[in-house]
Amino acid sequence: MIQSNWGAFIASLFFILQVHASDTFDSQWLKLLRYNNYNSSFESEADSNAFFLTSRGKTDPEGEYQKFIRVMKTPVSGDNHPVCMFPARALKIFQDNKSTKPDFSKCDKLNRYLKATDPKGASLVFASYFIQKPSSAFGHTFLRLHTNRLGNAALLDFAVDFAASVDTQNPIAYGVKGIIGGFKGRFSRMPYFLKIREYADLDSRDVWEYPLNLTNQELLMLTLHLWEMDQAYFDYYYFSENCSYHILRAIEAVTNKDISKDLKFFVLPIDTIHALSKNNVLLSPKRIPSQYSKVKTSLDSLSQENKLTVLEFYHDPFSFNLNIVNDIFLVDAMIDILNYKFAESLLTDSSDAKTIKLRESLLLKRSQMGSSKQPIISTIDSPSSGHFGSYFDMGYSYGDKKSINLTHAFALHQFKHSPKGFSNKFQMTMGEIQLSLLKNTIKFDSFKIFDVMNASTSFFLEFKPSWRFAIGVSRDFSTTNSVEPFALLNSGVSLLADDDYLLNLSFTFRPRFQEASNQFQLPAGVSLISQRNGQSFQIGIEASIYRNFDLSVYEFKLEPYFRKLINRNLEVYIQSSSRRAETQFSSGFTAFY
Amino acid sequence: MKKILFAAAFSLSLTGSAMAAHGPAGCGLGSMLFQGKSGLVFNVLAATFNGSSGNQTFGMSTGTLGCEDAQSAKVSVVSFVEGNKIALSNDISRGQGETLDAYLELIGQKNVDKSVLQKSYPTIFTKEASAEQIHTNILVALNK
Repeated sequence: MIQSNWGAFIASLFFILQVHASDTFDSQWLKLLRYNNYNSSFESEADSNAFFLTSRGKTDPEGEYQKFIRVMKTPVSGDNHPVCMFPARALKIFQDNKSTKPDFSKCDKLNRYLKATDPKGASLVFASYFIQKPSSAFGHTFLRLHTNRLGNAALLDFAVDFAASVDTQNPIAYGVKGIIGGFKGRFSRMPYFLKIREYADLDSRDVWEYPLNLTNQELLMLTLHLWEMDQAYFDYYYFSENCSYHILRAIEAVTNKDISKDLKFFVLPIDTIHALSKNNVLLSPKRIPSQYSKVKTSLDSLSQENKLTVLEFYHDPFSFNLNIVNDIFLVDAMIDILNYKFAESLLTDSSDAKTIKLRESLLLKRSQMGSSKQPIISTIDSPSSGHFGSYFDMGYSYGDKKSINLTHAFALHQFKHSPKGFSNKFQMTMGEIQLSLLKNTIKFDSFKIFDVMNASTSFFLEFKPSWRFAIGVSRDFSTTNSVEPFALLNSGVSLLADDDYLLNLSFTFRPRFQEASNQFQLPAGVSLISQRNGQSFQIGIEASIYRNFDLSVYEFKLEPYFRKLINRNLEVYIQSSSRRAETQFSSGFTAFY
Repeated sequence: MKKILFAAAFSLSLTGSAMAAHGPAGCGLGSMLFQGKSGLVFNVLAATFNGSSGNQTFGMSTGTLGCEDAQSAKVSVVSFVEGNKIALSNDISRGQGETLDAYLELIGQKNVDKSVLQKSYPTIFTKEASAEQIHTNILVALNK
């Protein structure tokens, strides 16, 4: 009796196992519902109950899978049926041979969506670094679905974006909530032109479109899957589960490639592009020039004399006599300049009467001038041709002291680094830590929460001061050689700032707190950066001199450097660093990952 | 003092770290709200001390809010003109451009002679013309 009971039990167990072996979910199911595997248990990143059919759905992929199979056997009555709300899952179950073909005929909303989108392709779009705005300094990614029409005007397509719903005006709450996941992030659809107007025209950021390398099947899956995301929200983490991460995860789900394994814990938009690229999901990109790039292009087509005319116009457009202008390229340049200079008020429909009138007379004049050849937008290196987002630096220092110096930053780019795919005119480092190993001791040298610089001033067109801002702790100018909290505030001009050369001169405040004397000090001075970029090297010098009024002494720092690019993710360097008390020579490498 | 400096450092680092967290976007009101973007030099500081998290939003004066169909994000011609007024006027004055091409595709007139529109610029962009008027004026110019 006992024996037969056991036999039945084992038989039933075997039956269950057998059923599981052929009937269970696979890796794509996990990806579609955003499950992660933690020590053989599962948890979905999605935080909305509506994203699951069962109450334990967030942690139970098998239960969700079986429930969906059962639900697919019930008649599809209308929009609220799971088949209509989660069409990619329905298709997946059908492909797994667990159901008959899903019936979408009663899904009115889904059908309207499908009819309107009907994509013939999709692109990952990267709006490049916008250093003026902290939340966009790392760039942003979203999707463009190329709707299937006779024509191919990109502006009629639509965009799918993942963004946090920010519900506070308080910057501290904004920061804290953003880091601990206090905002809800959602996917949304919008006309693609809005994105172009916002990023390229209003922000003046170059926009890069990377076509996705998808099969028709994957494209359909993507379209259906993005529809499912209407039911989802995710706690938004600025550093990890952010906009770019979720866009990547959606692509990962429909291609069923393990792309996110190539990401680090901190996710930078550019790194998602590198990861997708590595997995052969991206094709070569196309650039949509920013408003500023357009101005640059139209200036390039002008004679020196006309350039000066444009300059005059830029500085005082309202008293400029338009009657003297007869050159079509000149008028084109003036229109571009007006659009650039007054971008915000023009695009927000808040221009004053004077601006509107000037623009109208300029456009009217242009309309009577016939056609001109559109200037050719010059090609520049795409963001994905540059280095990866985080870096590690190791160098050996010799001179007054011998030490091994280690630096690590989770993001992103220093002006000293190779400008390919970036620029030598901006710097955005966050979380940079420096240690040095002296014989048997490890010394903590500095931690910069961030060090941001924008030196991209166009001296020809306008005077916009450059700026730099950093905050952290450092023993840089310490008189007691201890680590002191400091900030750096700097503003000046870039006398030259093109792709080959940067020459920046600025006034600098470097407030710090000296622990030993319990004293707050405010040294002030001037800083100079001069850097020449070759094809595969950067040579430059960084110099600062400060007057420390509290101690009535001068402090200075002189750092010439030479960096050679080995490949896009590896640079070697030699540099020296002189301060009042010491001179150090060092050589080493910077590796990006 | 030290505490204050650290507190400042911390709050600044937080605002500085906000990655692409813009306001709600999508069909309906949110989709038409750009954030207030000022090219301010010390935007980092401004964002901290003004208490602005980049939400000086503005709406476009269209009644349709960009998406006639919240499900599909489909755009009507008038909304398209409304949202692309500046670029469209540039293109028409030059007789060429991507925004003009997109508009013509939208109204199913891809193959018209664009120089006709260029010459009609004064009658299309009349003083303070609304998006709807601009659209009508274009159709009139094309049917002359």
